[in-house]
Formats: sequence, C-alpha cells, structure tokens
Amino acid sequence: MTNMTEIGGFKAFWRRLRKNRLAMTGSGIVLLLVLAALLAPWIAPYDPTEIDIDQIMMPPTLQHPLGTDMLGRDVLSRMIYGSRVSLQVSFIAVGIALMIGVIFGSLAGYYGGKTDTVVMRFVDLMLCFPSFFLILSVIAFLEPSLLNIMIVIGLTSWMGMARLVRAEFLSLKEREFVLAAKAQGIPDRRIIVRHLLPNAIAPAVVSAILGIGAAILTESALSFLGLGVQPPIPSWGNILTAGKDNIEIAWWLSLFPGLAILITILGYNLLGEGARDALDPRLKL
Amino acid sequence: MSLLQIKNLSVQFDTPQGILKAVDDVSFELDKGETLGLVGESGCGKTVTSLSILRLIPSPPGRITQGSILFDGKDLLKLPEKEMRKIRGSEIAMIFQEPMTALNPVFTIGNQIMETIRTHRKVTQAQARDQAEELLKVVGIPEPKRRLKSYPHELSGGMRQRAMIAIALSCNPKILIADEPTTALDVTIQAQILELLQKLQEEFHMSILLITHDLGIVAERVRDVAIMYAGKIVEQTSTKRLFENPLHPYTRGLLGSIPQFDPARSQKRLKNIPGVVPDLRMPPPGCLFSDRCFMKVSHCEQEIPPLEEKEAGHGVRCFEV
Repeated sequence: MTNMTEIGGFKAFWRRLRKNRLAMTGSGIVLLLVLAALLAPWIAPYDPTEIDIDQIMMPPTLQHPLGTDMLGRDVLSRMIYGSRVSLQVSFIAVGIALMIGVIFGSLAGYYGGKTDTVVMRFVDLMLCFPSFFLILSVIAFLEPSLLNIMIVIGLTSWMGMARLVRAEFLSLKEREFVLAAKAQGIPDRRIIVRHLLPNAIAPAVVSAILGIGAAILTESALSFLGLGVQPPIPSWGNILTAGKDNIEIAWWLSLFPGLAILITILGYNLLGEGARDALDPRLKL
Repeated sequence: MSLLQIKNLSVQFDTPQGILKAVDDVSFELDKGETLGLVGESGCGKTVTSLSILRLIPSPPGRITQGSILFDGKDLLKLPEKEMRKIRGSEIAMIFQEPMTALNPVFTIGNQIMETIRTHRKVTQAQARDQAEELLKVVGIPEPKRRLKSYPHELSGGMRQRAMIAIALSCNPKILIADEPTTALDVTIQAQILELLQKLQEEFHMSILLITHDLGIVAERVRDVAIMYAGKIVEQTSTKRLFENPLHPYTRGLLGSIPQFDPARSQKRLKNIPGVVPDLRMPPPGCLFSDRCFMKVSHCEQEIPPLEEKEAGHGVRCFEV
C-alpha cells in the first residue's frame, strides 16, 4: 500500500471509492448510523427509559414498530439511543488506539535499533494477552462505566496500528525526500510529523475504520455480559441480554439489536475494505 | 583561504561481509565562489563524501573514522548535532540526483520551500511565501505564484529539479552540493539546469561541489576537478590541465572512452577500461586500479601509491607517472 496522494490525492481516492458499490453500501450504513445517533432525541418515538407497564413485551405493532421489552420500553427508541453508545465507544476507543499506535509505530519505525526493539517487543507482549479477557478482568476491577470501557478497549487494540505505521515508516524513511529534508536542516520531530506521517497515515486510517467495527462488537459483548454499559442506559448489548432471557416469548428483543450489530459491523467492514482497495494503486478500479 | 577544507576523510560501512571503506583518505578544498568537480563512477564514494560533509551518513552502519571537515574554520565533524542542523540547508545546501524522489509527494512545492525558510529564518508565513515565489522566479519557473501550489507530480523533471534548487537556495547557502544534478534529466534540460546553476552561483556568490560521473559536464563549467576511484582520489588538478594532460591511467581510460564523433575514427570500437572495480570489502593490498591498469608494474599490486604532486597543482596517485 502506497500513500494516497501519490496516486492523485483525496479526489482520486473518492472517485475510486465511489465506483465500489459495496463500499458505498457500507458508507450508507455508517452514515445512517451516525445520523440516527446524532438525531436520536428528535427521531426516537419514545423516551428510551420510559416504563409503560400496560405495554409489556408487546410484539412489533404500528405503535411500537420493533415491539417493547419487559418493562414496556420502546425497543426502537432504545436502539436509536443505543447507537449513540456504540458510536461513542467505538470512535473514542479507536481514536485512542490510533493515537497510541501512530506514536509507537512512528517512533519504532523512524529510529529503529533499540527503540524499535523495545516498542515492538512490547507490542508482541500486548498481543499475547487474549484481549477480550484482559478487558473483562480490567472492567471487573474498575467500575464498568462508559469512559472505562472506551479507555480499556483503546488500550488493548492499538498494536495492529503500531505495526502498520512502523512498516510504512520503515520503507518511507529510506526515501530520498527524507534525506533531502535532513539536508535542509529540518529537525527529526518535524520530519516525522510533517513528512512521514501524512505519507503513512492512509493504511492506519483503513485499519481504524475496520477497528471501529471490532470495537462496536467488543462493546456489545461487554454490555451483553453485564460488564459494559449499565442499565437503564440503553445499548445494543444490554437489549440483547434482555432478549436472551425471553427468547422464547419475545423474539424481537434478540433479533433487532442482533441485526443492528451485524449490519453496522458489516457496514464498517465494507467501507474499510473499499477504502483499502481505493488506496491501493495496483488495483485498477 | 578556502571555504571548505576536507582533510584525510575516511568513511567506513559495517556490512555482514566485513568492513567496507567507502571513502579512504580523501582531501580537497573548495574556494569561495568556485566550483569543484568530483568525478567518478557509481559506487566510488562521491555521494558518501558529500553526505559526510553534511554528516548525513546513516549510522549505523556508516562511520566517519578519521579526518576533518573545516567549514569557515569550524570542524563540522566535531559540532554538536543541533549546530550541525543549523548549517544544513542554511549554510550548506544539497540537491539530489532524482528530483522526483527528493521532493515530498504530499506537499506543494511552495510548502517545501517555505518549510526550509522557516526552519532557519524567523519570518512570517506571508514573508516566507513571498520569498518562495521570488525563488521560483529566480530558478526560472514560469507562473511562480501558481506553481507554489503545485505538487511534485504535477511538474516535469526539469521543473522539479528547478524546484529542488529553489529549496536549496532558500536560505542563501555558502556552499551548494549538487549530487548528480542532471543525471535523471534529458540532455537539453541538463544543459539548462547547468546553465542555471552557473548563473545562480554568480548571483548568490556560492561555492558549488559538483558531483558527477560525466566528464563532459566538468569540462565546460568547473575550475578544479578531483577524480575518485574506489573510495580514493586518484587525480586532482585544474580541469584545463586534466584534459590537456591526464596522468593517471584511470583518468586516461575515462577520457579515452568518451565517444568521438570524428569520421576518421568512427570505424573503431569505443574503448573501454577492462575489468571491474574490486570488492571494497576485501580490497587487494596494492593499488586498487592495478587489476585494470595498462601501466601496471610488479610493485603496484603490493603497495598503495600515495597521492603525489607530479607537477605543481597536479596530484596523481600512481607509481608509474
């Protein structure tokens, strides 16, 4: 994967991405999700935490398109608000991962030698942990708040990013323009941030897009296990938990949040892979 | 007094197969406002020499093992890195062989010129932009205002090299190191770039260290010349004398292998120098050229000849001259 600007900048990237129907489907899904999360208070038909004991476990009707749960709360509204949690957690977690990954990866790749060895062995060490169980145990000790979840997911998912950025830096730093920049007296820090990073960022961004899907899945799994977002705050994971307990009498409680998770992750993966292809100049799209 | 004085410079690289002496005991001087041509074939140590001046030898595996590089009386090899960085790009600038790869593809030309200016000078963004525009005009890029916003891939090879030169000139350096500045360009553009360099040299009162493998380039525009072979300078004199009276067998071989467009001689095969450069990781004990030399005598293979003045101002590294 070479950098995007060499093959014609953002415009060319967008042109190539737009031709990829799957990627556009993916970005459509992502866009819908973002809109739902942003506009939740206006588009949700009910208050997601409002209990209505007359409407307990109602199957989908016109009044409640996706039914109600065991407390009579509207599932559609809860899912719309749940998308806020998913987005928030995944964006911030991936943001943290991207930051750590880029910093470690660029230092390791640029300086090489001992720095590289220390950073990359630390990456190997982190990769040895089964990260989901690490997250589970950390959350079990800390209080399972939204903030903690974001930080813990972020801290356990930066390693791939670091490797990618390091690999890009390893090849980029041998390029003549780096030598030329040094010959112009430009300091290392500036060479890393201004000259190398913009050339190396594209694969990291692709990996971040794919990482968002994974983070949503992790958050849902945590919430499903009761270690994530705590009720009454709605999250797809904890709606699913309610569904699990009542799967024989209320299928809609399991189906809709499950579908939402599936479609969302699919959307991010399609977009991520589309972006990767659009950034790869060897593929003629 | 000379502006740049290199004395007994040696540079080694540690390779898995052993130590490679890329530059061995090289000395030369560059006077103010003058041009010195450093000529030799690929891998003879020209570029390593020039990178050593800026202390940009990748280390490890590279190492400057001895010598001094005096610039304005200061030994560059002893300066702290921070001081060295102030000299790079500001006092001594460099242009590279391949203008496409030496420019960062993700920034505009203007950005890259301005960056160098602002690294070394305290000026505002707007002042830097004005200077950058002026520089583009000086190096002969049409529509400089518009070209400031161009990316390297939007320019032709010659234009890119001009932009590279504009970057190098941005802080008015005292020395410009031009490492094969025209090798990647076609012949007509070559001439333009060389003319431009000559014009700028007068305008900016620069000294130029011109590194090339092309004796033709040297012949026309350079006062003094040093011929390098396998990391050593083998002949060092004024250009005029070098062409009138080449002494070292390698130089004579090089001059002999220039194609002649003379109908009387056109029937003959182009002469070449037989053999190849020795492996510098395992150099032979004697003269490094002895293996290919037509003047070789027995002790050439046992002893390294010193660089001696055979006549005033004409140093040659050969026993037999």
